[in-house]
Amino acid sequence: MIEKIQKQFRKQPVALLAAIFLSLFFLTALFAPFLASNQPIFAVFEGNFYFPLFRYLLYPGFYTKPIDQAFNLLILFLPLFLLLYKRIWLPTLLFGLTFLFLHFFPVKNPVGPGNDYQRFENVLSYTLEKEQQQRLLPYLPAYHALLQERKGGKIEMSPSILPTLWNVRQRGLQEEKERKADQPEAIAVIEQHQNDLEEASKHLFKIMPLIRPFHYEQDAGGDQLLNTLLPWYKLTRVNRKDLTSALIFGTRISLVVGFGSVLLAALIGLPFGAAAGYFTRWVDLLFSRLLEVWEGMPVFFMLLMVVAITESKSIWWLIAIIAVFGWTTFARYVRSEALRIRNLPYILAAKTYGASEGRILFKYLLPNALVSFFAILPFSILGAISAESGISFLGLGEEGSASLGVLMDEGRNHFPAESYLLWPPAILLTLTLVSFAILGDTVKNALDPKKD
Amino acid sequence: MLKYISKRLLLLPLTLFLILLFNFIVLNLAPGEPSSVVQISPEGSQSSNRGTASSLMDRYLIFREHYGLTLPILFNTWPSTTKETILEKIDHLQAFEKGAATVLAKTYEKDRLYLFDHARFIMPKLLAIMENNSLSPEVRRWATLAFIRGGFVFDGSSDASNRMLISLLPEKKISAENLQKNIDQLKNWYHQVEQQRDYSPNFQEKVKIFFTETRFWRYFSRVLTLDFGTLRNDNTRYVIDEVIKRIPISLTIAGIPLILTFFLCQFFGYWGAYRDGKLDERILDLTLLILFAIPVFVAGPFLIEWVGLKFGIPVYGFSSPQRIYQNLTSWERLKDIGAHIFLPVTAVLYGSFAAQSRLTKHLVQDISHQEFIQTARAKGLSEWTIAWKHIGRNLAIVLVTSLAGSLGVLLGGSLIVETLFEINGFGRFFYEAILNRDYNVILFSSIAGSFLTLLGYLLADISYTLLDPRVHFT
Repeated sequence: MIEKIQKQFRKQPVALLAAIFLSLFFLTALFAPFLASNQPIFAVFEGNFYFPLFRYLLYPGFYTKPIDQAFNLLILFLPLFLLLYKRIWLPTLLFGLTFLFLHFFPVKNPVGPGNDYQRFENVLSYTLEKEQQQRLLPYLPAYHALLQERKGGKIEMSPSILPTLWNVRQRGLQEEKERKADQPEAIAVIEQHQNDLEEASKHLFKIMPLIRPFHYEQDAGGDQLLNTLLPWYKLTRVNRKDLTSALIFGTRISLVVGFGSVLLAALIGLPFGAAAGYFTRWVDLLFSRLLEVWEGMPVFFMLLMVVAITESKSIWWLIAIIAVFGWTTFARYVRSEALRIRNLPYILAAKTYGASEGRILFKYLLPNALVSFFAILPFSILGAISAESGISFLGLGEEGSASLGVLMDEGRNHFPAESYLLWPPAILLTLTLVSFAILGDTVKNALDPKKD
Repeated sequence: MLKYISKRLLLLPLTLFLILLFNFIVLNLAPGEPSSVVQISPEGSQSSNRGTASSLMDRYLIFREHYGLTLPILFNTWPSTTKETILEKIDHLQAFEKGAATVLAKTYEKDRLYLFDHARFIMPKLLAIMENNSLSPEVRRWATLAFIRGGFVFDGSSDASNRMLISLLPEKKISAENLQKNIDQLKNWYHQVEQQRDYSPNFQEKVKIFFTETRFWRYFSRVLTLDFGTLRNDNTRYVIDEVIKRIPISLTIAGIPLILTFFLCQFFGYWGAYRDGKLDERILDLTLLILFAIPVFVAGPFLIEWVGLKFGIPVYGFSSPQRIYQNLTSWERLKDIGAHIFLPVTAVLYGSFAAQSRLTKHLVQDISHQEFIQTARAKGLSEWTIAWKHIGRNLAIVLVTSLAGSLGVLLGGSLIVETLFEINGFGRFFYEAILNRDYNVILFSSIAGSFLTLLGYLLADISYTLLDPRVHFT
């Protein structure tokens, strides 16, 4: 089997590219926090060592979505999975139990009374904001020109017009100073604090996540005017969150939707299809009619309708609905496979020695009918991801999530005048889907008995 | 063959019925009612409305009655409600009215609707509670209220008795004697109309109520007479007219790709099959695979931005604005529409074209390995004849089936395309109805969509039997 797949890869070099891309996609999804986060992986500050990213990894106040929590836990469990891959159920069980445990006894906020995290975090955000300001300074002249053109009048060119977090902080401080203008001591305290931060930030050594120093749910500054000047990886979304970080975390959602809904659909479709193909007669008749009715529904209309009517924009609900409308493909494939297998000698042999119907169905027939399931698996994942993105694209996706469809929907608002927010998620999504298709084609060819 | 097609035709209504049922259940599972309380009557949902007369006849209750929302969704088991349940509800209601903190306004509202909705089916039990002197006057008063509500008929046929019933509404602080007097009159009235109105149904009638006195049955009987109601925000426009007006547009957007695909996929399919393994075939195969995987909501914006706006091809609407369109000659109109639908049609077309071309390639390969083709070759027939006559016919059978079956998918694709290109078609209408929660439109559109999909399957079957003389469905 492996040889066959290797042969297909040799025949189709693009398949290798697709496989590499998908592996990167998986790794990105798994290690997303190491690629984009506002917490350093490692830091040295005032003689202490800090591992903030790991401290925040499982804290539900930092990663609020269950999908992120599960993936983050998976990072920690990865060695266990790799070590015990032969008994995969064991780490899986442990993983599930740990996840449940963490749900009921959540990890505490690292910033708490009696530790120096608060100070560290203050200095860290000060440093990060300053660095962002430095990074954006080269765009100042162009931004100034644009702003003047848009707003008219005379605008002074100073770094404080940039829409950065640094300037937000400075403005806040300025206001506070004005408010307390009559209290010289208070102003002195504020300035002292700033000087402290400035001084301390010089002694902060940190290793930041590899790609972006922003959490995807965090305000990252920036605005649409500045966006027109920036390269695509520095853009901010409409709600002032970092686009690249969102893309990195969006891969997680695509994967969960793809695999989750296909798994669920298979759980419904496979037993049904196998039973219909194996028992034939009235079971099959009833089943076929059900399939006909089910497939008579315009699927995309139904998906939209159910999502819109139930007003539940959660990703889990989407997965469930996609599965409920997607199981028929599996059922059909497995049914025809079961129809073929049921008269093979080994099934007849099992019957003769008196194996029960259930045993034959689940132990002998279904595993062999699974081949066709694996042949269409990548294509089904493709369909599921594409359906989820389509629904999200039409504005019915989970709000606040980083799903690629939701990101595209945001980019659509100013389309086609300003489409820079639309294309990054669109291209990532397309590349993913195309890779799944190419890989699926390769797997299908490898599993095809006729292609020997 | 006729037999088979008639079987299909028989299955069609069944399928439509099941789809209707499914849609209806989904719609009624929605949180809140089709028109939520707050929208219809702000005072109806608030606890400020503790008065009796208005609580019986307020606008919200009338609205519910008018739209049949007082009925259960699928099955009506209400005649079998037990006396204990009724007493429990009444207990909540009167406790709330007295100002008990244990009963929430929400519970009050729910129980009030429960009692008043059930009233029509539990008249004898309500009467028994009213007549029971051992119960407190408050409980009996609430039973009386429910009883009057149940006796009320909204179809305008019983104005006299309605007026009589309203005149007997017990005040909030009614004395025990007056209440008794009212109850006696109501009892007399009840015995007069009991037979005529079937207030105490026997088993057979209960079975009938079980199925027919439901929202679904009401809706279904309206659907049978093709009455799908009006638009939510404009009740002079009928849903059925609005949808049918838009279907030709959508069928153009989805149908032209269907026809084009049929020809294009054969060309590329033969190409792929005859040049299998060569460089050009592998490039073609990869291109088709990539086209297949690109989602329509990526291709749509791409076509708009990088093709439409770059080359000046119109990207919005089905035709030019009406004032320009009217002054065109027929030929110019055709050109106008052609230019407008070029990009949308491309957006719907490319996906199914890629999928069908790949299918065709595999089919051609499969067929050419069969023995009758080898026989034909051995006979010395030219490759063209074999490809055209022997492979082509076998190919067309599967292809037509697969294409006609994909009508539903194309309609789904055209929904996104219509939204992107702002074409006022059926899919976009449906999408907007979903955003507005216009239930009549949603229900009818999904039925119409299902009908078109099934029609596609039917056409597929018919052409299958016509094209393949070997097929005899029995």
